[in-house]
Amino acid sequence: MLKLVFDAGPLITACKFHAEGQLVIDHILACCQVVIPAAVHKEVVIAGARFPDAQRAGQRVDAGRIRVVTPVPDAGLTRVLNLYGFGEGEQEALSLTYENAFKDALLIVDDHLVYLVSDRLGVPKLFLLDLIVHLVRDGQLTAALGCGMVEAIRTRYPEAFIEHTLLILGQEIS
Amino acid sequence: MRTITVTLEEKLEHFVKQQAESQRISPAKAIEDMVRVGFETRLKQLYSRYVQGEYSLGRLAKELGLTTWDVVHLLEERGWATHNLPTASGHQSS
Repeated sequence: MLKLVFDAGPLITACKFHAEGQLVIDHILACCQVVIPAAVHKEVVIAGARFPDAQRAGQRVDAGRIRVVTPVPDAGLTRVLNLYGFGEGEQEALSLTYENAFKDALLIVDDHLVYLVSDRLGVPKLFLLDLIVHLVRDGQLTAALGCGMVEAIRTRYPEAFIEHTLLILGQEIS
Repeated sequence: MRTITVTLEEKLEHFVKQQAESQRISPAKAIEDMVRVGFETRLKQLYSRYVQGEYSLGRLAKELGLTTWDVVHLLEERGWATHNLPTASGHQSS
């Protein structure tokens, strides 16, 4: 089962939008092991009082479907990440995927700066859109469902990213 | 909503009094309005750094004293793009 560490951005997206009657996060949870850093969970709890998407994330944590993990502090890495001024959740998401225990995990991230820094650190990462493509190619999702998920989250990405993803998925169908 | 006490230097106190009188609102409401304007101004400054990829979403939230969930909802309410990925035109789209 694919192991994923979700940054807050894609988690928020996946907990808000539906495809084929289910939340995007539930389609992912059906075939992947999802982990979030403790700092992202802390925000889920705070925001859960105000936002339904945060409540949905919290419910999945409470049900044990999304695992919460606190990264082991790494002074060297922290010094590097501090240079970029990341939020606590981003710091922990990058730290987790940098740890040996999560070397086989993919960081799911939609933020430009976090993506670039994860690349510099050699951390394997995917945009949420590319995770959908990956799961379609792996046979975990049908291409039609993949397209539905991409359409559902359309407002959260630049148009070119969406259209490019749909073209890739179109090739998977034909 | 919480009530807080602020100490103003004399010229600011006069300014608040003048604003309150001219708009026929209480001094507290005048200060509240100014803080709101200040927040929106700061949000625009920080958002500009975010869309240029200089700040991450978490940094934007941290600078505003909010959670990332708050910020995403805040941007959506304003019809602003919630992502900071590059676009074909070089500008952010919603």
